[in-house]
Amino acid sequence: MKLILFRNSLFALLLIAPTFAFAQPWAALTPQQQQALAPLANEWGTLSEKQQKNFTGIAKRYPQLTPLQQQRLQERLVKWSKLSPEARKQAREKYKSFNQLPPEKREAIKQTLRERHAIKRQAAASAVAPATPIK
Amino acid sequence: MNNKHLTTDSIKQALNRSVQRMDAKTIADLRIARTNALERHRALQQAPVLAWLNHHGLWTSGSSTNHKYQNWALALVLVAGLFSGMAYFQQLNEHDHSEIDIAILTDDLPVDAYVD
Repeated sequence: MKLILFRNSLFALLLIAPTFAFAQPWAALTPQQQQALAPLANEWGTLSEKQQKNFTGIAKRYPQLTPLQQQRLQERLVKWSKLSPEARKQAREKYKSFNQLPPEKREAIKQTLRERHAIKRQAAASAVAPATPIK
Repeated sequence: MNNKHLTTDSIKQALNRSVQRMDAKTIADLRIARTNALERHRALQQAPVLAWLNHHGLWTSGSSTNHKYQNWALALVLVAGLFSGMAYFQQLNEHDHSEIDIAILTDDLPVDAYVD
């Protein structure tokens, strides 16, 4: 009887083993993963286990990207990691619905968004610039 | 009795003679034991999963006291299976996220365009 209970418990533990995945320290990543996720090196330890898993998934596909895509990805990684889970979810939804639009409409929206972002950047830059003394 | 002359009929007759010599209590106990065995057999036939577990030594059709522990063990296995399934589907979802995240992070529009 005890043997059966032990055997069943062992079986149960083996079944739930995949759920006990532990967070990975930066040093445990492969050199290729570290290269892909280099901008996140300092804050890797502060990321949630779920985020870490997601980023290692990104690192896995990194070698297949073009140099331009790799550059863009690395520039945006930190910003992406600092967004709230809700904001990331919202961005994914927006991206999905945006990609369902016909190409010409998509291009028109992209152009509008580019212009809007350029205006925003200009406004932000002028707000930071030192104020000129009033004569 | 010489074993070489044993036939099905002779065994039956010998058993019948033995039954006639048995006391009423023994016969009643044997009848109860037979009924219990048949009931257990029927229950296992109706539940092929239990029959399979029984066959592989993960389950025994023993006394009712043992069943209490076995039910706990089976419940534990089921819960473990459920957790494992949930973890598997969660991992699948995360995998999908990494793919769409790459698409957003490498797009010609900045991330802000999808966040604002």
